[in-house]
Amino acid sequence: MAQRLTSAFLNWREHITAASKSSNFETTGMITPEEFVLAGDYLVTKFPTWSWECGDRIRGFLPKDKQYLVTRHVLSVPREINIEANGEWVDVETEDSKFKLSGIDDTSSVSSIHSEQSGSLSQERFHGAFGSAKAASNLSDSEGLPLQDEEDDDLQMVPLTVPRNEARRYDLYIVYDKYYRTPRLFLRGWNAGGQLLSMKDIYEDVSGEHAGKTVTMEPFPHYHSHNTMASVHPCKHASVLLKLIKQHCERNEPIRVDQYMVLFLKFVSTMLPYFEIDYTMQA
Amino acid sequence: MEMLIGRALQFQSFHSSVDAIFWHQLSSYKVEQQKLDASPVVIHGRFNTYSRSAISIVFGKAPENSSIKECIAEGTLINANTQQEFVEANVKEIRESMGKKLLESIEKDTVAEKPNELIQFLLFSYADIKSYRYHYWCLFPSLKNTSLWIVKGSQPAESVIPSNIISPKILEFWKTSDFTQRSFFIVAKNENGRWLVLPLKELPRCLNNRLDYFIFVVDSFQLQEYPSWPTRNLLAYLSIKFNLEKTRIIMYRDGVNSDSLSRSIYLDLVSQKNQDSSQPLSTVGWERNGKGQLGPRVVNLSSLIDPVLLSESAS
Repeated sequence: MAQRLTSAFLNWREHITAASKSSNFETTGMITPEEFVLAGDYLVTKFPTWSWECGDRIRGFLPKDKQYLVTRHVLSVPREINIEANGEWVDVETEDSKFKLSGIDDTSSVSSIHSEQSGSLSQERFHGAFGSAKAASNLSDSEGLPLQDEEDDDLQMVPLTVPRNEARRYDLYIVYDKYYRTPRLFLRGWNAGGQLLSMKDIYEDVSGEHAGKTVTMEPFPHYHSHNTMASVHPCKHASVLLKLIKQHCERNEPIRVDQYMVLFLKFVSTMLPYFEIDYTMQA
Repeated sequence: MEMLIGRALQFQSFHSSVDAIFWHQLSSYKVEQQKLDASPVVIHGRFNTYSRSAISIVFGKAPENSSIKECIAEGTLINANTQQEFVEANVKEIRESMGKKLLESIEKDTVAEKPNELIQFLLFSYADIKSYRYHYWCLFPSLKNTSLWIVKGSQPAESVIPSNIISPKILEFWKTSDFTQRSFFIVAKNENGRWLVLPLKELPRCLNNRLDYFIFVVDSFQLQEYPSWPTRNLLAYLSIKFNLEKTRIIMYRDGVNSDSLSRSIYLDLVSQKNQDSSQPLSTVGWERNGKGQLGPRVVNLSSLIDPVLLSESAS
């Protein structure tokens, strides 16, 4: 309940905070709504799976047709990852989340994202998947309706087999958080059987450090309906992004403001190490 | 892909993803407008070359200006008023009526003007609004007993057509034509040796003028070897309407932002009468649920309801 009140307070705080106009992303790690649109446009152009959408609750400081960004059916595949346990978010790095922002065509790492099959399935995730399948069946798929598998003799259809590593799909949404002046990630997931994932299920796909702390259920701001989704709390986004921006400057690969969202995705991928977030940079 | 050669082509079924937002929109539609009227409601589904055989089901009509990155299937929602109506529904009848609709689109050739009539789908549901439980079942209809298609050859698409010329033309075609034309289209070499992207309705012209052509089907593949549902219905169209005995298909798996055809696959196919072809055409296509059965699913959204917002709306 305390968390609910807090999120109501934060919504109100966002409401009274005027959207900032002046740009200083290089010194604060924050962006204005205009820059959010600019960076979103760049993402949509360069990354084929992302699109703009508008929802049914228009937030006036953004263009009507560019309210939030979405990518659908992102797979979450458990795999071996190396986590340096020093408490720094940015240092959590998966084998293939290392990609170069400026070297547009780092095809080697891109192909590794697509070709890599999961190795051993983590024990935790296995139990998780099994557990949720059981939970789903407790909800009792309606009695009476099932056909007597009479479509089984349809030889033209590939028999349904869901490889375990295809088990979960997510829709990811990036919205603008007016209070923190950064992008904010929302996510919704389904298991192999098409059931919506619970918060507990989703925690299995979030790096241990963030589950339950920075990832919580929040109302999605672009719909009127009472609709909550898992979201990554943006309170530390600006400082982490600022650090990433500075690292790029030190390497003499300064970030333009329109590339900000790609940087944000890199940051997100450290929190969601099992997600196959698309980094395919195309000219 | 060689493993396919000499075998009858098989298809990968579609998976539906129905977002919580869909159910909230259905609930308010039912409470505010539809009430006890059970007439069908327009919905649509979105998929693309990256969606791994999954289709996102969206409430309402497809927007005219939908993102060119997505293909759109138009659908119908039938929402039962009571659980009993839902459980006792004649699902075979629903299936056969959707199959009949598909066959009519093929025979009357409304497909020529609107190729995405080949991918009409249906969602049958019962919304238990008070407890936030939604029962639903998707149908992606295909015709059974149509000709089988035997794979004679299969190669990377780039080995049969120049991707640097074709890719930008596909993007241009998608930008300039409406969404009903996106899932199926033709790439042909005209009399002057120029490559063109043409709408599906130009198929008779390609056949009559013996043009060198390929039919592209947007394929949101999950399994590398098998095309998904739309290809199956396209091939039924080619057999039933055009009586084609052979065809060349490209499973189009690159996106509009891609400047290559590196993921796409060429299939050289010949048709063969199905052994069951003496029987009347019947329909298949109910989606299997989480248990792998032909049956509906139920989703419980009570945990997604925000108690703060709920108390606000109650006050």
